[in-house]
Amino acid sequence: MGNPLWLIARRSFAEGWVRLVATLLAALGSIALIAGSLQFALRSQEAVSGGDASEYSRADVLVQGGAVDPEDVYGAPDGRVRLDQLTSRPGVAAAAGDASVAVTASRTSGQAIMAAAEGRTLLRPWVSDPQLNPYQLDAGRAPAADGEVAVVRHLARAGELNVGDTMTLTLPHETRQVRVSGIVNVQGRGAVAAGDLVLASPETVQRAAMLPAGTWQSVWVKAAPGVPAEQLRGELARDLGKAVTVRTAASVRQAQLAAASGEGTTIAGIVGMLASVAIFVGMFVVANTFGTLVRQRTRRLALLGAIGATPRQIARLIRLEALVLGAIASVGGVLAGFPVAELIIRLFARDGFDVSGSDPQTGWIALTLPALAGILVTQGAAWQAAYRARSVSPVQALRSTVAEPRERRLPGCCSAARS
Amino acid sequence: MIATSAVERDSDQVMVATRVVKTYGSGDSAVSALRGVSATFARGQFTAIMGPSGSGKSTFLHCLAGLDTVTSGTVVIGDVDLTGLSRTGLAELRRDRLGFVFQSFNLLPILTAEENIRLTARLANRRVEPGWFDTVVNALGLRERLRHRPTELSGGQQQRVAVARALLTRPEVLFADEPTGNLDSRAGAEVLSFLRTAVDEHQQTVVMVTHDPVAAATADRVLFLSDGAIVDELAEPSVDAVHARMRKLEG
Repeated sequence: MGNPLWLIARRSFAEGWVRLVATLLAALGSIALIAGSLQFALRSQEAVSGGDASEYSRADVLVQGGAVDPEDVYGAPDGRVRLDQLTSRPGVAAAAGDASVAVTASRTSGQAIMAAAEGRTLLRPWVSDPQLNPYQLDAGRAPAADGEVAVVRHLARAGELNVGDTMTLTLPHETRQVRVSGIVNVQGRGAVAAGDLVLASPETVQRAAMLPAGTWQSVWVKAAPGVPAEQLRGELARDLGKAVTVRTAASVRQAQLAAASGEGTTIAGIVGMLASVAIFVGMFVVANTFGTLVRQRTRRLALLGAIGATPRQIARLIRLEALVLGAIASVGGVLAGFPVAELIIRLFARDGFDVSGSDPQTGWIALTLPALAGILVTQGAAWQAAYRARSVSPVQALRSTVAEPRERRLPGCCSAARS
Repeated sequence: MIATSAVERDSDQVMVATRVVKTYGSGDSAVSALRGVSATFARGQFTAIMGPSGSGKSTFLHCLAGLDTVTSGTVVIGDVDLTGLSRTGLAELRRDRLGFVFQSFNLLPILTAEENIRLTARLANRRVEPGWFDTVVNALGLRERLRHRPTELSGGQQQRVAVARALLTRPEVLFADEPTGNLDSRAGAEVLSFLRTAVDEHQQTVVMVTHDPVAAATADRVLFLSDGAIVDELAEPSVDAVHARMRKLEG
């Protein structure tokens, strides 16, 4: 017979499971929402934390044309910088021109490909100098000709693009078809803090940004060996005057990180809100059901008390039944969390926060935490019912001469329809 | 009042109730169910408690068995005073030293007959000698019914399962509250015969509340309650003698 309490809890659950279906579904839904929210949070983190990947990871100093708003870490500089002003300077090991043009990438079917997280899709020049190039090819090769682009992994995944596929780029003044020649990552990430990147040959980008030959929106500079970035920044700022803004790449990366962490706080708030609602609804429904369950089983509990079950054993019986419910709801809830996460992701993507390119998370946090939350929610919700069950007087087993009815196998509406 | 002086315990006394008072409510609305009831119960004795409706016989049994609290007075089983025990202490005492048979069978419908029979022992995490289990099950004719659920058993069979459950832990006192009340006369006679056999062959102490003179006549003695007090006692009762006392009590 084993543990009698476990046996009674199991049989009670098995006998009354139809009536518990609604509760089970509510608990399962609650856990699914928790699991889905967490899944969304983790996937957002993965997507946004493109934020700790920066295209400036190899550069030491950035020379940006015109005045730059330090608050807008992703804004394109409004001035021009001549590349040849910098290439031959002492203390400069390498320099590469950079420009960014906001574009809309679409599949050939016309469906737009959303950028990672809240970012944008930017057309940027491929950087061929290995001292400055932050782009690692996952597949294919660098864009070599006009009409060829390399894309970051997130964009390729979100747009279901492979090397050799064609995509549509909507530029400020034209729309054109380009061929994907390569897929890249940046510091192992599928996107950068600014969003997704479409990398084309420098000439193509220069033309799209309508920059005169030899000039760029900004120039990435690699300091010569032994020259500190801060020293080089000072010298360049002094020599180039107020027509440009000179910043260390590290300070820009820092600003990008801060912006990403602010984004993370917003996501944590949303996830916290969703999880709180889920926990509240789950606890409310489960607590109600178990309260009713104890009232309906008063005689059974009283009988157990009369023949010697201690108050603690009676409370444990209720908690065990809640544990069975919680365990089933947890397993189902964690599984249901995946489609729930997809739904949340799709809803957020409509508002421009697209993390669909990230992989479903199957780590222990994503799986264990919601299951644990499910057990805790059902146990917490059954606590009051268990406490009430403790105080059922054994005399109540003797008050009625009517035998305890079998638990209904069909919900009320079905029973009514059947009769 | 009868037996009030028999409070000195000796080895033959398994249970002693002394000036037990049970009052429900308080103030003007207070109702006295028991008014200073005292009685002793000898080991291996079958005692029936009778009385008109509302005489307090079931309340007395509940107080003796630790199912209900007393307002004042003491109930001592063996060397334990029930009135000083916590709810947990009372539950453990009922589990370890007492057995119960109720009018409405009181079996768990979700368990089989065998699981119901073993339930009290399992709650105490106590192992039952296989020989004793077989003896009880065979004596009660339940061998073929062990795998059946209560709903698949007749009333008489269900009550036999309840008797088996009560006997399996070899309780110091077996309490029976109207055990034949829901049975036809044949099934009722069978249950009474089992209780009698337990007393005669295994020195089981039985305290039974009943309103049935035929059932009371199977006991060794009958205590008569009226208006919350013991008013008479009959040793070696016969059906006619019990009838006569009851007629007298009911006026």
